[in-house]
Formats: sequence, structure tokens, C-alpha cells
Amino acid sequence: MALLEVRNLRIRYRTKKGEVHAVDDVSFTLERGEALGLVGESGCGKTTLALALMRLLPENAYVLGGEILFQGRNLLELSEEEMRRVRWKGIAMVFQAAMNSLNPVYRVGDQIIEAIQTHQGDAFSIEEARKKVRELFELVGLNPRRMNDYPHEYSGGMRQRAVIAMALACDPAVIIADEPTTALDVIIQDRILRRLDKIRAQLNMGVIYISHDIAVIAEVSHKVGIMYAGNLVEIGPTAEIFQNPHHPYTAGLMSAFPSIRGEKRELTTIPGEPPNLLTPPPGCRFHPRCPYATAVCREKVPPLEVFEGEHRAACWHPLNA
Amino acid sequence: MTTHPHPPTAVAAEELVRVEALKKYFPVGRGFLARRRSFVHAVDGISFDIKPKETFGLVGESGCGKTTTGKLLVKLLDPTEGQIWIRDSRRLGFVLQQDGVPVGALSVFVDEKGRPQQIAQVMGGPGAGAQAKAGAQRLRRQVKPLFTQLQRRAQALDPTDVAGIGTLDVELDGRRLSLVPISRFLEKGTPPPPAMNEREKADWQRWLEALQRLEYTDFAHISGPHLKRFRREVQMIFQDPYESLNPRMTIFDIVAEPLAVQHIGTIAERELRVAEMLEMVGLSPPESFLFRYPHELSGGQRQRVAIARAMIIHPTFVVADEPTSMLDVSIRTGIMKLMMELQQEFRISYLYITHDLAVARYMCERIAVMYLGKIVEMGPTEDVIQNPLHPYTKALISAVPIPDPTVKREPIELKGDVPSPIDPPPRCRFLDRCPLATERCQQEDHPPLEDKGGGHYVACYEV
Amino acid sequence: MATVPAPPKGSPTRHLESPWRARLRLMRRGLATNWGLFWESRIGPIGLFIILFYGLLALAHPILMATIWDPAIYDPVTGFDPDPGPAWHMEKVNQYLVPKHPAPPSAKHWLGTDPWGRDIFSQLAYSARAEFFLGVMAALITVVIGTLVAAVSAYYGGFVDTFFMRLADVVLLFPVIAFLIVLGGMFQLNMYSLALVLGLIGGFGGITIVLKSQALSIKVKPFIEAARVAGGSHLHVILTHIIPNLLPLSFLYMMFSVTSAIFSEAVLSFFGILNLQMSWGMMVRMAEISGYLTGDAITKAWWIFFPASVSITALCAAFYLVGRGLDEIVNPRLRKR
Repeated sequence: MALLEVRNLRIRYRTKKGEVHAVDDVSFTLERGEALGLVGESGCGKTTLALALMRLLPENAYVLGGEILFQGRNLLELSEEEMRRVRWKGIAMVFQAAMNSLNPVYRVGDQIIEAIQTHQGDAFSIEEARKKVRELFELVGLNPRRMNDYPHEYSGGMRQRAVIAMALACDPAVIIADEPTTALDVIIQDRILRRLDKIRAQLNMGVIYISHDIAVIAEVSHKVGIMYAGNLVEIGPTAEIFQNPHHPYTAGLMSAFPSIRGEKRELTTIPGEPPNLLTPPPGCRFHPRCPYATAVCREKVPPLEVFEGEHRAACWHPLNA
Repeated sequence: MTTHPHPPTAVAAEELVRVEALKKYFPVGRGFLARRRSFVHAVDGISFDIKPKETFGLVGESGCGKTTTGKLLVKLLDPTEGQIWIRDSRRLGFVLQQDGVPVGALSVFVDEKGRPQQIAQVMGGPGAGAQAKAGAQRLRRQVKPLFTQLQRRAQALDPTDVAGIGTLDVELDGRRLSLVPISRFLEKGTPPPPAMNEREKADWQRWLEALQRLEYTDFAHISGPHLKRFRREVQMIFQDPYESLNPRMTIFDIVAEPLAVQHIGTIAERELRVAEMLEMVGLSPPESFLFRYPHELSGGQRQRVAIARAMIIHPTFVVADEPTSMLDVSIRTGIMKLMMELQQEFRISYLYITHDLAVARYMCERIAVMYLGKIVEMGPTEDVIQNPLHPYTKALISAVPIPDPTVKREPIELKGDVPSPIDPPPRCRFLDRCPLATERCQQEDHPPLEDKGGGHYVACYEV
Repeated sequence: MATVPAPPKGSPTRHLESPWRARLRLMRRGLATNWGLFWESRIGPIGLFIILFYGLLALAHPILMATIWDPAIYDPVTGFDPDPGPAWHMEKVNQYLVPKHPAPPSAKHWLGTDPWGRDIFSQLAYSARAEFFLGVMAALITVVIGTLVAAVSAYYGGFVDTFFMRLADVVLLFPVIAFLIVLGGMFQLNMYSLALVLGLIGGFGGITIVLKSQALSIKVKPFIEAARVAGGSHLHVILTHIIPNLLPLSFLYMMFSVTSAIFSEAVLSFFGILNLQMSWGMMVRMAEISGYLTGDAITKAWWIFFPASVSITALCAAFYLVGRGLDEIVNPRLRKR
């Protein structure tokens, strides 16, 4: 049984102008100790997906269909009370720009203690909680003696580590990291990603990395899923995806990304813009921008088909098939 | 004492922008009465040059001073020290030589075709003595006929002759003199004539620097209407496409603002110009964009508007401060390509500020790596990236993620974090984190940039 | 570069919409959108309705005076009705039949008469005009001063900023009513001078601080830097960028200023400080000085003070409600998704 399994998830937003098809028919699995990278540009639905896994969607969002199976239980069927027990202890999340979400008037250590006590309740006394915080600090690479500092006394990188510590506070089985290093400098980013990867291996956690930076995803993920306009268009082992992409969007994304290694080559652009999800285009949502689009692409939604082993793509005219 | 790579005599006509010993210090703490104040050394004495039609990259982590440098170069901030020489495209300078010895110099204003319109400045020969002054006065009296000969020569030229006027032999007071364009004069090398003593050598140096001023403007030290006019040469593209456009103005108003502020054209002419510009940046058909508001456009489209605004007055130099970092990946390349197309079309140089080395590799011909307000390495992009010499550059490059899972990267561990930029001690800024640090690095001041071959400069004692 | 080059020969001449036509079109569209939002706020239109009601009242007065009303009887200040109503309103005083004023509301006097025999409704309508004038004038002065001071303070900072902010602190600490009482004692305050004084006090006071913080948040936006890089002078930046972005907030605060002005006038008139012939505050004062406002007498001639008090409250509330309705337009974050 997979640690986390998402099946045919559909999420919509209700707005004054109509319904936004934010996530449509997304399925994937995550095993213990595995790192899944979700890549996509703004508006592709990756953050919505992450919030859905925690059942933290805003009020005007609703799940149209599908299942989220965590350790066998469908999270969508749980009551709020039961879900609260899963949140943070089962699945935890590091939000986007989290380093700005620390409360500036409380000490960093105290905020983590609060998180522990809220979710673990009476199981932890203050002393035990403090001890746990010290352990967490060591785990993420922060000096435990700085537990009693305020967030503004920390640098950006340190704050990000603190937020990661908070997410790990209740020993979750899964961590979702939404753009964990986007606002950080490259040297700090490198350190934090390596640390996070070490933690994942050490604690045998499942990690979902969400990012628009495919270089970061390439380095830390075992599996990569490419999202476009609310659909999961391709998913598979990292090496496969990068060396042998089947979906034109994936290929386009790869060749639009500059690298400091390898031959210096011409970058390509993907013409057009991502579609408006109030009225997504019929059939394959990528067809308006796809150089290989034909009539069938404009009419029918391609299903996620299996290619080699774990490698799946949703395209009527896959590349290198 | 300047620590820049070129000796002052080698001011080449090949440079569009030349930054010398640029410093920007911000005072820390308030109080009118505080005597000894601390300063943040945001930019701490940097020098570099940018050639015409070149994209020069400024890379580094946050706090290294690259954004401040960008702001200094468009005069949003005034420098604490240092000079920013920008080639004034309206001016052309000549050295007046008699038997190979310079006796004076002058500069003229030229139109778009390079034809002289008006005398700008007249200068005497090197030397501070009475003889030099007399020479200068004589030149001033005789400059009119000189100018007429110059104009006649320019008219005789083929308008497509980019090389321009060239050396001109003239007759003045019965003397045979030659007018040599300054660029040509400097190309030949300008060591002081051997017969000079120390004081005369200093005079010679000063004269050369004054000569430089004839064709360049020190952007750092002009103000008032002179500054306003000169702003047509230098523009900026900002990082945030959402915040760099006034949400209450239409696209037309936004792109036409530089024209309005510089009093160029009538409203109808401006509208035409804006429409053409919008088309050039890929917002087509322009009529459908002219009277929309920024919130109706996507991030990529907004950045194109920002680029149109920067280009509309045909600057020669554009500072781009992370123009693509807030855009999606698939949009980024479109913007980068647009910038490169416009560079060809309008013959612009860019100062491209970024923290993303991969983007710098793609866009820039030369880059400079900044750390704590100093340039630690500078040179041709491929050279610096594939063969970094400075320990910081090496660490930086080793930390960049590679979008290729088969490549194994060996990140270089750097101890510690970036130190505080407040009142840094007078030694190598990288000392506490450097794996190669020695006694010398501790004792001496921050190392100067040295050419290690092929234009690849490094500021390090141990390389 | 100094002139705009002509379009290259052979290029199709475009038919571009004239910028002025476009601006008009966009303004109309903007008004329509904002009206829609205003209407949706629900409380905004209520306030607007009340304002319109009193506006009509103010307009009606001169018409009524010119047509169906006899000025001798209905003039709000000098009128006197010798025969206000049914016979039992006459009383015998020294063998003479004398009309008993204040007379309750009747067909002849819709809101009754005051102790001096003047028609209350006429007074109400007559004062409405003055109240509007006072409120709007004071608010306009407040907002013009406040916006300019805020823009300049925020933009230049330094001494200018410190000066105006300390001035605002002083004004805020001021007991305004007491100050106005003293002022009223020294000078004769009429509607015009009162509007000016209230405008000045408001303009240099609290509104400046709020607008300045908004101006500060505008000042640090990159489009301001872009304007400077293009060669824009300080004046250009303030006029073209800062003030237009402040105006929505200024307009919003103008509504609240009207409320404050009308209320201040009411209080001052009640204390008899102002040199006004007739206003709603005066009407309440008349009730007070003729003894109908205290103790048991309060029910005897309610029509003297009740309409005026209600009107003061209603008009103040009306402008406040309009302000709240505008709030959603000015602060998009308050809008419902």
C-alpha cells in the first residue's frame, strides 16, 4: 500500500465570474522515503493540490471528485476533527514564502513549541517540547542556543530552516514543500535542499517538492510530475523525464531552461500563454500552444498512458514513443 | 587610488560605459549629533566597462551590491565616490596636433547621422603653464574656421560611412595642423613623451582625463537640465512587472511617459510612436493594448510594456534589474529573446543584473561577480563560469542546481554566512569564509583585480 | 533622437483612437463599474438616498417660498402666523385672543411652529441648504490640504515631513470644540468662516497622517523610480503618480469629513457660539432656550427639536454610509470574492 495515493482528484473554485477548473483528474502515488517533484508554472494547480492534501482549501473551493488515500484512509471522507489529527502529525506542509509567516512577536522556539503542543496535546510537557525543539534545530542545522531569538534576528535561510523544523515537529510521514527555497540565495538553497534530502532519508519520510525551478526538482526528486493548466500531463522517474520526455510541454519546458553546464545552446520559447481556467480549452488543454496539435487534440482529453514502466504521459502524439 | 583594471590612459573609444572606483555608503543609525557614524558599504569601489552593443552581467547573491550598482548607473542614487563615464552619442571629439604634438582639443555636437552641428567645448594642450593657456585662447579664437572645415568634410562623406570623419588636415594661421578623432588618438597608445619631468607627466595625465571628458559625460556628477537631457541615453527595466507600472494609468500613458517628460512630439505623434513600440515588443495588434490597464495584462505582457517604456526614447544603455526572475519559465525566454532582438535593432548595451548564473550565461558576453560590494571576478562569461578562479565564484557555481539528473554536482562547502556590510575591516572581504586564506590576506587590503589572461580578472592573492 | 521620426514610407497609416476619446470612454466604463460596486454594498445607496432626500428638501424651499407659501407667515426667520390652527389653539390673554405658539403639526404647518410662530418645516428646509454647503465646503478644504500635505511630506521626507507630522499631532491633541468656542467668542463665525476653520483643522489633522502613510506606500513603488529615470521632475511625480493614487482615499475621507463638519456646527450652534440666523443646531437651541428641552416639557413641543435632531443624525449618518459604500471600491481587498 502506498503511503499516499491520489486518485482522479478534481478541484474547482467558485468565483463571481464562474467556476475555475483548478485541478482536473490528477492521480499519483508516493511511497515512504520517496521524493516526488511537482513542476509547473503559475496557475497550473500545484499549490491548490498541496492545499487539498492538507484539506486547507479556501472556502470557495470544493472537491468535485476523486480520493486522497493516506495510509489507506480517504482523507476527503474524514470529519474535521479527524482531519485535524492527521494534519501536521501525518502530513505537514512548508508553505510558499513561509519564512515570512513566522509571527514576529513570538520567539522562534516558542512558536514551534506551540505547534507541538497544539497537535500532540497532553503527550508533551513543556520540558519535553523544549527538548524536542532542540533536537529539531539540530536536525535542520540551526544552533539550538538560538531557540529564544525572535524571527527578525534570523537570516532568510535560518527562518526557512525554522519553518521546516516546525513542519517536522510532530514527526509526519509526509512533508509537502511548496517552493521551499525560491526566495533564497543559491548557496543557501543548496545547503537547505541537501539537508532536507538527508532528513528525508534519515526519517524515511515521503516528500513532495513543488517548484517551478526544474533544476531544483531534477536534483532532489526520485519521481517528477509535470502539471499544466490543472492537469498532470506527465509523470515518471526523474532521469526518464529529463532524458526522454514524451509530452511536448515537458520537452518545451526542458529546452526553455538555461543551464550552466553542458553546451551553450539556443533556448526555445513556448508561444502563447497558459489558458484561462474559467473556460479551459476543449480536449487537451495544451493544444493552443502545441506545435503538434491535430483535430483529435482539440476534441478529446488524452488519458494518462503508461509508456516505459512507471513513465506516464497524457498526449495523443507523444514524442519519442 | 583607484583599483580598476585599466590604467587611465587607455580610455578607449570602444567603451560605452566606464565605471571607476564607484562607492556607495549608506549611513547607519540616525541622529544629527552622532559624530562617528557607521556606514553600510553597499558598493565598495568597483570599476568595470561596458562596450557598445554588449550585454554585461552583474551576478551575486542578495546584499552583494548589484542592485545598488544598477541604481547608481541610472542615477536613482548618487554615488558617495567614483565616476560613471557614459559615451555621449551627441558628441564627437578631436585632438589638434602640430607635428605630432597635441596643442589643443575640441568637441562638437553631432546629429543622428554624425554630422557636426555646433561646437561643444574647446580645450588647450597639456600643461598648466601660461604657454598652455595662451594656446588655449588662440584656439578659441580660431575655432570657427576649424569648425567650418570640419563640417565641409562631414558633408562630403557618404552618409552610410559609419567610420565617420577620420583625421583631417587643416590649415590655420599658415600652420599645418591635423585634427585627429580622439578615439584614433587614444588607440595609438598615450604614454607621456619621454622628455617630461614628473610634474609634466602629471599634467599630461590630467590632460588625458580632460580629453576623455570631451566625449563622455560623467553621469555621476551632472544635475539639473543637463541631467534630464542625458537621461535619454540611459534607462532601466525593473524586476517586478506588477509594481513597475502605475495601475491607474493606461498602457499608452505608461509607455508615453518618457516622451511626455522629455517633451518629445505631440500627443498624436506620441501615440503613433507608442503603437509602433508596442508592436516591436510583441504586443500585437497595438490598438488593442493602447488603452488597457496593467491589471488586464499577464506578467509577461506587463514586462513587455516595461521594456517598451524603457526603449521608447532610444537609449544607448539600459540597466536591466532581474527582468525575468518574477516570470514563469516559459515566458522568461520570450522576454530574454526580445531583449536581444532589441539590442540588435537599437544598438543598445545592457547591464544585466541577476542572481541566476544560468540566465547570465545565456544572456551576457561578459560578467562580473560581486561579493559584499566588491567585484571579485570578471571576464568573458564562458570563461568565468567554466573556469572560475576566485574561491567564492567556485563555490557559487558549484551550488547552482543543474536541470540534468545524470550530472553529479560537487558543491563546495563554505563556512559561515555572508558577513555584515557595515564598516567591514580593511582586508579581503572573503577572508572568514575562504578556504585559501593566508597571513597575507589578513594583513593587506582587499586584493585588486588582476588580469589573469584573456580579459579574465580576479581579485585574490592566492590565485 | 530629439524628434520623433516619421513613420517609414510604405507603412500603413494606422487609425488609432484619439487618446482623449479613449480617456472619456474609460472614464465612463470606470464610473459604471464603480457604480455597480457601490450599489452592491447596500449601505452606500441608503446613504445616497438620504442625501438626495435632503437635497430635494433644500431645493424645495425657495420654490415653495416663491409659490404656495406666503413669506409673511412662512419665512423661517421672520415669519409669524397669527392664526396657526383650530380655535382651541387660541388663548385668552387680557381679553384678547392670542395664538398659542408653538403649535403642533397640522395641515397648514406640516411640522408645527416654534415658540415665535415660525414654520418648522420651512426652517428645516432652509437650513438644509446651509448644512450641505458647510459640510461639503469644509470637507473639500480638508481633503485638498490633507492630500497636498500628505503627498509632499511623504515624497520629500526630512524636515518637511517632520514639520507637518508634528503639526498634525498638535491639531489632533487640540480640543476642537473648546477651540471653536473661544474662536466664536472672539470673532463672529458665520457659515463661510466656520467652513474655513473646520477645513483647516481637519486638513492638517488626522487625515494627513492616514493619507501620508498611503502616499509613502506609493512612493516606494518601482513605477515612481521609472518616472524618475525617464527624467520626471519631483513635481511631475507628485502630480502624475502620487496624487492620483491618493485621490480615491481622499475622496473617501471627504465623506467622513462632511459628517464631522455638520456635527460640529450643530454642537456649536447649540451653545450659541455661531452667528447664524438659522440652522438645525439653532433649532435645537431654540427649543433649549425656550425651555422645551428639559424635564417634563420635553414632550410638550417635541416638534421644535425632534425634526432638527433627526435630520442632523440622518445627514451625518448618510455621508458616513456613503463613505462605507465607497470603502469597498477604494480597498479592493474588502470586496467579496
